Amino acid sequence: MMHIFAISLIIIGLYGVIFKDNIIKKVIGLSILANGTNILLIIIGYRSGGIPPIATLSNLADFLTSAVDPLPQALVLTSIVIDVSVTAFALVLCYRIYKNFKTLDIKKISNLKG
Amino acid sequence: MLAPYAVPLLICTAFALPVFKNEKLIKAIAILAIFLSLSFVLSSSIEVFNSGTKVFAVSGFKAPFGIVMVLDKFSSTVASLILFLSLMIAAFSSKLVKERVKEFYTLLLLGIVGSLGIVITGDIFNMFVFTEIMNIATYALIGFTAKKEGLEASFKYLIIGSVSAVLMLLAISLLYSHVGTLNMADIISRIDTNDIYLKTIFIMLILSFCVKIAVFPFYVWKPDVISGSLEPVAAFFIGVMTTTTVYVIIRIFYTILGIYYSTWFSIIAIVTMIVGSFLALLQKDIKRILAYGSISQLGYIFLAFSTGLAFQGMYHLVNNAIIEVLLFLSIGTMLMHKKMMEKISMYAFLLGALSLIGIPPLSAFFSKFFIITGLLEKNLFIYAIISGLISIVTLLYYMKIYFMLKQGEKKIYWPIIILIIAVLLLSFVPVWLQIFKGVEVDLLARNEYVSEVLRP
Repeated sequence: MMHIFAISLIIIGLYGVIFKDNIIKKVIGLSILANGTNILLIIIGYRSGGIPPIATLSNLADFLTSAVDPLPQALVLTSIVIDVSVTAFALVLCYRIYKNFKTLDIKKISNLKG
Repeated sequence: MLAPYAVPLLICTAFALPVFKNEKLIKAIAILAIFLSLSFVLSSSIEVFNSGTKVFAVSGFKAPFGIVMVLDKFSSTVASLILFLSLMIAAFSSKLVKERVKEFYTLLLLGIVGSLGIVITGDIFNMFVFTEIMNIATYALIGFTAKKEGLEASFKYLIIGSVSAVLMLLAISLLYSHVGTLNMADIISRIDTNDIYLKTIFIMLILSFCVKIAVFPFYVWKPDVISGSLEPVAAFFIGVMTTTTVYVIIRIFYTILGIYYSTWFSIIAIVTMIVGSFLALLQKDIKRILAYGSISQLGYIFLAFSTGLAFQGMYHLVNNAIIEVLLFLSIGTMLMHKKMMEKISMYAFLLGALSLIGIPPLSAFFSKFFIITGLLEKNLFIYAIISGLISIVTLLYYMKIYFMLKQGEKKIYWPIIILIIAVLLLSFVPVWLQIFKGVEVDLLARNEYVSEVLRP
C-alpha cells in the first residue's frame, strides 16, 4: 500500500517536471519527485512490529529477531539534505532568471537553439 | 597510500577560500591544493601499478560495513587524469575569471572533489553523494556569468541532473532492498547476473548516467549547456565530468555485471557517434560544434568498451579528455582578447583538432586505429566502416571551426603549452599501451577485485 503511495508521488513529480511550463512549478515537481524516492527508501527499511536497532543486555533476543534496518534511515537523512540544497539552489536560480527575463515561463526563457 | 586524503584536502580548501580577501592568494591556494592532490594521487598510482590494488577503509570500518576507497589500475589512471585536467583548467581560469574569484574557485574545487570521490569510492551510495556534490557545483558554475544564456543553461542542466539523480537514488534503493548491501565488491559477490529484476535495476542506474553525459536519445540539452557557459567551465564539463561518468558506466558494466559485450549498447554508441557528428556539421556557433563533436567522440569510446575492446577504449578516453580540454582552453583565449586568438593557441587548436580527426603521428590516430583494427578482428565490419567514415566527417567540422578563428596579439599561457606537450607525449604508443593493457587486465579481473576489497 505504501509502495503505491510512494510511486504515485514519483509519477506526480515527474509529471510536474516534464509538463509544467512555470519554472517554480518545475522545482516543486522536482521536490515531490525526490520526496517520493525518499519515502520509497524509508518503506524498504520498514518492518511491522520492529524495535529500534539498539542492542542492550536485556533485549538481545528481541534485537536479533525484530530490529529494523537502520541503514535506509541514514541514507534518507543524507538524501534529504541533498534535496534541500538542490531545491534552495533551484529557487535562487529561479529568482535570478525572473530578474533577468521578467518571466517564469520556460518557453519564453528558451533562446538557445540550433 | 595518500590518494584518499586528497578528498578532505580539497573540501577543506574549498570552504576555507572565502575567508581570504586577496584574489591572487585565493588563486594560488586553490591551484596549490589541486597540485597537492594530484601529487597524492600520482604517488598512489605508482604504488598501485607496482604492487596491485590498494584499499583504504574510511575511519577504520572494514569493507562490507564501512565506506572504502578502492584504487585499482583503472580508478587510479582516471583519477590522475581528471586531477591533471582540473589543474590545467584552474590555472587557465586564473587568467580568465576576473570577478567573483572566491566563488568560482570554491565551486570548481567542489566539482573536482565530487568527481575524484566518484572515481575512488567503492561504495555505491557514497558514489551518489559525490555525484550530487559534483552536480550542484556544476549547476552553479554553468550559471556563473549570471547572464541570460548562462542562467538558462544552468536551469536546463539542473532539471536534467536532478531527475537523473533521483533515478539513480531509486535504482540504489531498489538494489539495496534486493541485495542487502551497498558495497560494490559485496554486491558482486552476492548477485546472480542473469536475474532479470537485477538487470532492470542496473539498466536504470546506467540510464541515469547516460542522461548526464548526453548519450544518443538524451543529447539535446548538452550543446545549450556548453554554449551558455564559460570556456573553462565547458572544458571542466566535457573533460572532467564526462570522463568521470564514463568511468562509472564502464565500472558498472565490466566490474559489477561482468558484461564485456553488449549489442544494444554498441548500437546506441554507433548512433550517438553518427548523430553527434552530423549535427556538428549543421551548427554555426563554435562552442556548439565542439559540443556535438564531443558527443560524437563519446560514441567512439562507448563503441570500444561495449564491444570488449577495453584498452583501446581506455586509450581513446584519455586522448579525448585531454584534447577536448585543449580545444576549449584555446578557444577560451578568444574571450580574453576580444574574439582574437594568439598564434600559440591557434596552433594548439589545430593540433588538437588534427589529433581527434586521426592524422597519423598524433595520439588519437593510434587510439582510433586500435579501435578499428579491434573491431575488424571481432568481425564487426559494419561498425569498423562507420567509425572510419565518421572520422572524415570529423575532419569537415573541425576545419570549419578553424576557418572561423581570427589571429590576434601574442600572449602565451602555460596551461595550453603543457596540454600540447601532453598530447604529443600521448603519441608515444608503446609506453601507454603497457599502462592501458594493465588497466584492461585489472578491469577483467572481477574476482581479484572482490577478494582485494573484502579481505579481512
